[in-house]
Amino acid sequence: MTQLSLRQVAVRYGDVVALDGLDLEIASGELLVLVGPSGSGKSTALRVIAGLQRPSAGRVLLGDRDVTDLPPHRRGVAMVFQDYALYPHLTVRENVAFGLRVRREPRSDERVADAARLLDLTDVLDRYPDQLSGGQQQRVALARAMVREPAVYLMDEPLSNLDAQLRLSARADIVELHRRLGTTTVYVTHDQAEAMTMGDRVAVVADGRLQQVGPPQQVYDEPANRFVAGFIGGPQMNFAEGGGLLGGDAGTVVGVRPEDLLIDPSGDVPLDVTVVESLGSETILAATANDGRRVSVRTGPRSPHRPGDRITVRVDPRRRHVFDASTGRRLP
Amino acid sequence: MTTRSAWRFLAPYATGTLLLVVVPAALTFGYAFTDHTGLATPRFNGLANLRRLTADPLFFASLRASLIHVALAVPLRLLVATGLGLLLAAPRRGGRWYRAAVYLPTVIPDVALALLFLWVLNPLYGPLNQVLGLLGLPQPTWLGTVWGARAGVAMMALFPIGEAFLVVLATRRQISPRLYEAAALDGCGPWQQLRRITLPLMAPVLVLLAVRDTVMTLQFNFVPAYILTDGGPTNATLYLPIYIFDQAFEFLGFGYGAMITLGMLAITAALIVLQVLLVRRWRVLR
Repeated sequence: MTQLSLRQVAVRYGDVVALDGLDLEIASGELLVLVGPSGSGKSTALRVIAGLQRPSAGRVLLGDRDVTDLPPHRRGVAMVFQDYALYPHLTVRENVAFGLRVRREPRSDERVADAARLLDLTDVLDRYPDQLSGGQQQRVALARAMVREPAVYLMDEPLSNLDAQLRLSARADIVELHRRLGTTTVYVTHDQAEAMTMGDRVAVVADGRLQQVGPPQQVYDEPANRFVAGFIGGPQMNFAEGGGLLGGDAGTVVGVRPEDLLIDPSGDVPLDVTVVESLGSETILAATANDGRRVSVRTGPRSPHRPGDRITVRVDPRRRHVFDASTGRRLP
Repeated sequence: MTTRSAWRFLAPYATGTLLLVVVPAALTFGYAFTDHTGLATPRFNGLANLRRLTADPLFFASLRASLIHVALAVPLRLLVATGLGLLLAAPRRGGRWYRAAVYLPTVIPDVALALLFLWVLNPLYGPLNQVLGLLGLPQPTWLGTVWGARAGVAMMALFPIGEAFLVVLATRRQISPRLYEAAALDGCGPWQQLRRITLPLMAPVLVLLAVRDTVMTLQFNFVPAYILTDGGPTNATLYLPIYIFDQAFEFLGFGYGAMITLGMLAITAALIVLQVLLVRRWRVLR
């Protein structure tokens, strides 16, 4: 079990700054989800940890070893790629054993068989990657990482190529695998659901900087700044300048999540419903406020409201987020 | 598109193929069993040409020259095309100029290239021997010796490799960079990556290039041999196309020339079968 630290890691390509002094501490055995919009630098961070990308500045520490200058294979990390990167000319067995063969490690057959059993690949060991389903390919990629018994797993959006249903079960598989192996894992995603459900902690990255890190619920409940508030949670948090629609003081921005706008005939915010999205278990009302602002309201299933209805909502005062209008930082 | 209009679109090409390939091929096959000279009406003479062929020492000299040329030129051409293709596939500063430079000799007409090599290989004032002299190496009289001439023609064949080079370049660029990253994480250095990723993934294309180059090299060595060596010295470069040309046009033996052509066809086919068998045997393809 290994602790992983990024210290002031920067990556620049000419004028483009991919990472701008990223600091991150990942505890031994932790599953940390790195989430951010595309271009935020989250994949770059993963590649720096893997050794596939040299940082322009900063250090990467694995345990008490500084691995910044080590080549990828000497770091003891294994990576699962978004497109799996299976070797198309090798069978599943050869794919999984590849790293072991290259390094002439002992008991390769045994370790491949163990991984195959754990990931339910025993029946397809002699097939080629293009003869497998997406889910099987994904598990081969996991198996290939697993047999190396790495100190750290790096996963770069490993589920994004799977269809919705498979993604759900694969998500559970990865969490279960992590629980069983207890290996430090960094998991990159842009998927809200994965960010909220998989990690011990979630780290939100934007513009090459760490915006906030913490347990998912805490990040959701107390976003550190306006970016995190808007990025985590869907539909997006509703924002209004202080003193406007959602109250608050001048010089601030007030944010309220859709579920914290409570429909109440005695409420103080009137809204015109424009779209009703029934998701079965809940209903999202898209509405327009008096000032023309679009507002989302989350309410229970089988909502009686129809487009064109006028409703009033009130803000749950304990769930109101206030941010500094200029810096975007959360105000107490 | 209906089948009928498809045929209409195919018609010009089909006409060309028929008139320029199928009919001459059929005529060649027919003439091979006649005494056709181009002067009198050809008469069927059974297997007389085949008997002459199997007893013709010049044919075997010519076959030997051709096979040696293939054995020298094909592997070297593939090696150079593959090496340069892999080297220049990666984006790098000025890469396009290097790639253009590699392709350029391919657009030079054979005759011009052959004349150029006549100068390059000149034992007295040719640049090759001057360089060898500066390095203190022996300066052979290239085209004057058997193996010097063979090597000279093979050397010339190393330059028009643009097509194979382009195919290698394109194939290499098709390989996902992710595979190399995965391999790097698995502990593969550059050589291991070449051996375990690049070459196996390019194998189908390399096999295709080898087969194609064998066919091409057997056929398209007429010009260099004609201009550089005219078949000499002592028939060392009397490649089959030259011998066929000599028999058919110089000695007006169209019938016999056609038979040698059939022989060359059979040998080409045999070489390809041999390659395919080796590919299977060595499990080059999955």
